[in-house]
Amino acid sequence: MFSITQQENEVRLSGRFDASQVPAASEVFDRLTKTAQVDFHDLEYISSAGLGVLLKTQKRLGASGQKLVLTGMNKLVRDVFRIARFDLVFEIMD
Amino acid sequence: MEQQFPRQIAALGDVFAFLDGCMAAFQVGEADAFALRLVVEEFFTNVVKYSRNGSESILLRVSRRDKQLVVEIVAGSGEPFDVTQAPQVDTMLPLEQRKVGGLGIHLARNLCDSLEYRYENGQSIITCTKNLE
Repeated sequence: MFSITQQENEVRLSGRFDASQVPAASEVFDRLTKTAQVDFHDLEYISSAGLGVLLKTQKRLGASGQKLVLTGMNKLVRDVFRIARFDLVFEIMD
Repeated sequence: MEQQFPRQIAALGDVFAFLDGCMAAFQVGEADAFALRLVVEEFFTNVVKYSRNGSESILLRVSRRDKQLVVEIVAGSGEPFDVTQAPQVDTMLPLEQRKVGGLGIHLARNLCDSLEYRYENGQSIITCTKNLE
């Protein structure tokens, strides 16, 4: 199961972020207007669909000098970002 | 082990449930299981998005041969699309130029130890083989 919650400038992801979860995730990410932290501590899995939502948001925020800061990824999720070289376009913290 | 799924993104929940069963049955480790779930999702959603003229269902077949796990995604489709020949994605582009298109196949290619495509009797068959840890 996937869940996404937002509290001010922090978004928390949990479970599996697959293609079927894009609408629910987009609803939250589309509301962001300022730099926000995205907490991956409870996220088990992400696919290119999830990466797409993050990329779209990063581009939109970047236009006004804002960004997403990604934190708490497990090794497997971090490997996905590495393969996609999203470590070059996102600030990723432990 | 094999199962048919509707050609819909909404079927992914059932796809993952099937894969969870396969990974447990074949005693696949966490990292390999993660990779295979990702590979299957990427090709499954690719078929849903780009083969709309095909048959109603998509067949997933998972088998283990010694220290290899083999996953097949079988879909009747109007036109063949050889995923092994899809253009490479430039992952070194700056943010403004990065696109999501093609990223799924890029991830899947990197996570399979071998990837094959064939088109037989009107069906696209994608075979991913993973050497298990």
